[in-house]
Amino acid sequence: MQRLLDVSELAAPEPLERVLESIGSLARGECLHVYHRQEPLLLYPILDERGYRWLSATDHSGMVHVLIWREDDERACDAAQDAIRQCTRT
Amino acid sequence: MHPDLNFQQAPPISVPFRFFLTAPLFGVAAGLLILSFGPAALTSRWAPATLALTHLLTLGFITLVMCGALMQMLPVLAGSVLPRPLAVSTATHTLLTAGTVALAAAFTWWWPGLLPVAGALLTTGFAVFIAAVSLALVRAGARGRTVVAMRSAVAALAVAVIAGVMLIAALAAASAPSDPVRLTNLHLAWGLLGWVGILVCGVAYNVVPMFQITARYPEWLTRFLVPVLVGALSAWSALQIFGAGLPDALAPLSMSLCAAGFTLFAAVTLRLQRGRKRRTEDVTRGFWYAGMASIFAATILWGLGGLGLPLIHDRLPFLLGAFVVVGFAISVIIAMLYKIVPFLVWFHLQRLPPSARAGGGGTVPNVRKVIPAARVKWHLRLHLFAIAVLILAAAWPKWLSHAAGLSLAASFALLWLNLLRAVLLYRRSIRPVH
Repeated sequence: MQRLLDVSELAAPEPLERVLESIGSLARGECLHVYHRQEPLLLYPILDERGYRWLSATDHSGMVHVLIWREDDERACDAAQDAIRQCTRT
Repeated sequence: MHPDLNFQQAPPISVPFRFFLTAPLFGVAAGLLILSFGPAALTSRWAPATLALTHLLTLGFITLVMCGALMQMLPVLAGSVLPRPLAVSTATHTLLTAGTVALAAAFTWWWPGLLPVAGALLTTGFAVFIAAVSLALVRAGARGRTVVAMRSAVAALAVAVIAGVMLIAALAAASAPSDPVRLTNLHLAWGLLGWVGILVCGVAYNVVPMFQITARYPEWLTRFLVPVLVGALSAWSALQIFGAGLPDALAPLSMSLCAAGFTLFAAVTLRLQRGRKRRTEDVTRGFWYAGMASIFAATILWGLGGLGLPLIHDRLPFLLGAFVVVGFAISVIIAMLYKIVPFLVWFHLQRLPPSARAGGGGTVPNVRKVIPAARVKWHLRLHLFAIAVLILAAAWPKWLSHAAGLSLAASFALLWLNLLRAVLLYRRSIRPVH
C-alpha cells in the first residue's frame, strides 16, 4: 500500500515540510511515494536519523520518485520496492 | 541510487552566518564613504577613495557572502564536504574581514604603509579558502554543471587575487607595475565576470528552479555557458598580455562573447521566471529582475561606450560599475540571501531533536515567518531607489553623490537588520543549555 505525495510544484523547503508531516502518520504496511522534480538530498539524513528507510529513482521524464517506510515495517518495504520498480519501468 | 553524502559533517549554521552578518556592514561602510567623500568618490576610477569604495562592495559584501554561501552549498550542490569547516571558515572570515578593513582604510586615508598588511591578510585568507574549497571540489561526488561553474569561479578568484596582490605590491613599493591599467583590467575582469559572474550563473542553475518553481535551465545553456565565458575571458586575457601586433578588434571581440553569454543568461532567467509553474507572490523576484535588467543595461552601455559618445564615454567605468556591481551582482546576491537564510534557519532547527528546541512543544517556526515578506518588500523598494540614485550619481556625481551614499547605506542597513532578525529567531528557537 502506498500514499502519493506530489511536491513537484512546491518551493523549498515546502517539499521537506510536507514529507516530514506525512511520514508521522504512515500506517503499518504503508509507504509514502514522494513525487519531486529533484533529488531531495537534504531529506535523506533526516529520514535516517528518524528511523525511516528510503529508495529513490528518476523516471524517463527526469522526475524523481522517493519511497519512504518505517525501518521495522517489512510489508511497507516490499511495497516500496515494487513501486520503485514500476517507476523505473515507466 | 543516491550520492553518498555525509551530512553529519555539513557545516554548522554559524559557518555561513558569520559571513552573512558581516558582509552588509561593509555595504553600509561603502554608502557612508560616498556620503562623506561626495563627488570625489565618483570622479576618477584611480582615486584612493574610489578604490576603497569598490573594494568595500566587491570584497566586503559580495565576496564575503559568496565565500559563506559556497561553504554551505558544497554538500548540497556538489555532494562534497569542506575539510574542517569550522576552522576553515573562522580563518577565512577573520582574515578576509581584517584584510578588507585594512585595504579600505589604506585607500580611504591613503596610508600606503597599511597596504602590505592588507595584502598579507587577504592573500592568506584567500589561500585558505581556495585550498579548502578546491580540495572539496576535487573530491566532489556530483559532476553536475554547478560543480563545473564552482571550479571555474574559484580558479577565476585565484587569478583575480594574484593580479590584486601584484597591484598592492606595486602600490606599496610606490613603483608602478609596467602596465597598471592592463593589470587592473585583468584583476577586475576575472574578479567580477569570472568569480562573481560565473558563480552566480552556476548557483542560479539550482536555486532558481528550487526556490521559484521554474522549469530547469535549458541543457544547451548549462552545458556551454560557463566554458564559453571562461574561454572568452582567457582569450581576452591572453590578448591583453601577449596581443601586441595582433589586430585591435580581437580583444573587444572576445569581451563581446562574454557580454553575449551573460545577456543570454539574463534573458533565459527572465523567461524561466515569467513561465514559472506556480503564480505565487515572491518579493525576491524583484531583486532578480533588477539584476537581469542591469546586465542588459551594462551590455548596451559597454557597446555604446565603444562609439565614443561624450557622457557615456567619460562616465563609462562608473556607470558600468554601478550596473554590474550594485545593479546585477548585489541585487542577485540579496535575492539569494533572502531565500537561503530562512531555509538554513528552518533546516537547522528541523535537524535538532524536539527536546533541544524552545517553546511550543519543540515546533519549528514556519519558513515564511523567518523574514516576513513585508520586510523584504520594504528593502526591495529601498534597494531599487538606491540603485537608481547611484546610477544617476555615476553619470552626474556633483549632484547626487550624497543622496546615493545615504540610500546605499540605508539599503544595506535594512538588509543587515532583516538577516539579524533571522539569526535572533534561530537563537530564540533553541532551548538554552543550563
